[in-house]
Amino acid sequence: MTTGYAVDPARSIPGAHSRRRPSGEPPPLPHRINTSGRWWLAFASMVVVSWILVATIERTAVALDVADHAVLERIASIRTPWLTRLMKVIGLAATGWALQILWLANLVVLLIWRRWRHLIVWIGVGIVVDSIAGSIAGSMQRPRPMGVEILGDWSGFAMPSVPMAILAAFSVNTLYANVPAGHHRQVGKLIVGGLLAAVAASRLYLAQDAPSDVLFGAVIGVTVSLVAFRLFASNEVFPVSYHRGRAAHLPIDGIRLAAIERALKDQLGMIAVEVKPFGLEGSGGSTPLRIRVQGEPDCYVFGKLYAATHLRADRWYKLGRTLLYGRLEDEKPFNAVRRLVQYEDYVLRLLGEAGLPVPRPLGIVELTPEREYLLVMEFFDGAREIGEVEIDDTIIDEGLLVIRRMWQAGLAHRDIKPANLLVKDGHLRVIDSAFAQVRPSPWRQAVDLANMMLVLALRSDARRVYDRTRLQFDEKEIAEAFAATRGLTMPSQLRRMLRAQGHDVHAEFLKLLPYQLPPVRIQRWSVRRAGLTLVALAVASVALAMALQLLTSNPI
Amino acid sequence: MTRRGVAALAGLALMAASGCSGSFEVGSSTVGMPQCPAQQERAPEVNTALLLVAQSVPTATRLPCVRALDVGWTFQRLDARTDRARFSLDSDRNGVKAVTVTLERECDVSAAVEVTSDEAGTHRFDHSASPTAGYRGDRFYVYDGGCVTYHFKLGGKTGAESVPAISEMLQFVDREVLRRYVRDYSDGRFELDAAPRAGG
Repeated sequence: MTTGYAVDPARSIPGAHSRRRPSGEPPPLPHRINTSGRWWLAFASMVVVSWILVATIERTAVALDVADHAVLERIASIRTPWLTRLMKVIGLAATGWALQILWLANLVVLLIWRRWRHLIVWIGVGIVVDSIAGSIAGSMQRPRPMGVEILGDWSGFAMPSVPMAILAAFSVNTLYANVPAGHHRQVGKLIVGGLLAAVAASRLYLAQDAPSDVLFGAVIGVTVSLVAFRLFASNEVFPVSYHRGRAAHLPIDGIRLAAIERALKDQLGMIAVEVKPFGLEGSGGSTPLRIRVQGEPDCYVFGKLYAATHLRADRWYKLGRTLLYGRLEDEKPFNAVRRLVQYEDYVLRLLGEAGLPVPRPLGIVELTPEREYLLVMEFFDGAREIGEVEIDDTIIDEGLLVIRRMWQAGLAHRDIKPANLLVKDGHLRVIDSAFAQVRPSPWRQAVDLANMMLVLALRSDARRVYDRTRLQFDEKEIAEAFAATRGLTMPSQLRRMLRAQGHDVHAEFLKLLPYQLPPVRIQRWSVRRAGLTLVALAVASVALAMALQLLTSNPI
Repeated sequence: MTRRGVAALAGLALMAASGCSGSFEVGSSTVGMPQCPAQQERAPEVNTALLLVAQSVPTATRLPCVRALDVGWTFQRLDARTDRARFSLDSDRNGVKAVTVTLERECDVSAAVEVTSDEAGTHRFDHSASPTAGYRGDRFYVYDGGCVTYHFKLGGKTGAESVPAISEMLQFVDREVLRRYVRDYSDGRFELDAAPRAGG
């Protein structure tokens, strides 16, 4: 068996030099809300200042009323019957039922395409804008326009215009949640701008709102939506896509691709010739990349891109495991992307030092501080998944030795499945140690052994694997492994492949055991698990109630 | 600023914004209340809620308002919209929405009986139901361009005892008072109402 790191590190690439980023220089992929977002924030700040002035200085309020009245009177002077009818039709866009239809249409699209993040931001923006606009209108208590006949329907105080605020927020929500960034979204922005301008004109013509009411409402709606989408569902991390796929994968193109290339050169001295997503279907916790690095000859390295979205995925994964398994898998989630990456890098080094055939870590590359990192490691070029190759005794022995060495070093891989066991040049390689654990429970170590035996038996047979196992493990250890392992404890890929075998490999192993131990109980309750289960049920109930409320209530 | 910072700021802003009106309602119970202007003053202050009530029914020559709240009474939110304004008063003895006041252009008084009106320039009609406990009834004030309904829903054992006290709390204000106020406020640059124009 090849022990430790399998090949020479890619660090030996000639001409590779790293560069320290000087203080003040932006990172390769700066986190920003774009220029337009800043402008809208500035507008919103001006609106807030205006409100404070109007609320505290009567002369300002009178001046604003007089100015608004002058504009409305000029507009009222051009009223004609046909224009009034037209304006009433245009104004329908800001009525309760029209906004309800817009919301429900968005809901359907976002549910079909499973853009949960966009849906949550959509709902959040709707609630926040409705609350802010309603609360401020109730606090400012500005009457409707005076001295001009109001031709359209209205409700409540006028400043800011709640229908305009909600229409603006819903329109921008619709754009950012459904239209992919780029040319189409730019066209969409013009359409939304045109719609808001037309509805604003209608509301002014019909004297439902004063100009400042309309302006302030639109600014609040656009700003909240724009800032929320850029902060919580940015294009870089949550692109709008109509392709089915794992949401955890980040798009590798444009700005991010350039940032990766620059960061690799600056921080690891690697000149990336090609960066391509690799093995996406087998990875949900990161975006895996195969990177061709310039050299003589060029060689490949493997990159795992981690972002805040993966951190959240890790949290949900661990919460799910706690709810499913209880105390046996009770562990705290990571609280920062940097720590998540640091941990995997550390585990790789630990496994390597323990003599396991894992890829050599080549360094961590920072794209956006605290938000996005790339873990670079050796790439097993030409390696094939264990389920696709013939298994000989060497590979079986190497697989079992991996487990023995992890036991000796006090480690568990926790994700032993065909996708994570590769064969290269007739030797076994172990990848994806993100879930590995130091000082795991004995139960988890036993599960690793059983899962390894099951994987090895997929392309050989249970008897052969059992006989080879007996050379490294005693009967009691094997019996404990199969007492610990059943359905839920196996990775889903392994379960799927076992089912596809047509015969029950697990049962065959049980028959080979000289004796069986009673199954290890995996459902263990703790105060934490009980509390989390109750909280999860409560949150689900509240979410359901809110969803029903949003589905049935009038937004205005 | 970090995302957490922005979120916290947004949360604070939201809480502050929603907390403003909420805390006022709990504390003083008068925010959004159409309060009657002081009668003895030549140019009384008119609150904006009353202006909004006036705008909801532009033809109404008189507008309902709250003179002062007795101890134990609190104001519920004002719901003013095209063609209708409505507000309620809660009582610690008679329950929530003990009286609901509605201003409309006209109302159906066919089931009510006309009685002598206690408000000058109005016709009063009363209609009462006989629930097993408390008091239910409607009082209508009909006048030029408008109709105000007092809907009583008095819980508790006191029956109709609170009705005179409620009548004392509620009053009418002449629309002309509001017109004068708006004229003074804008220095004559705009009026409360406008004559309908062509196209309307």
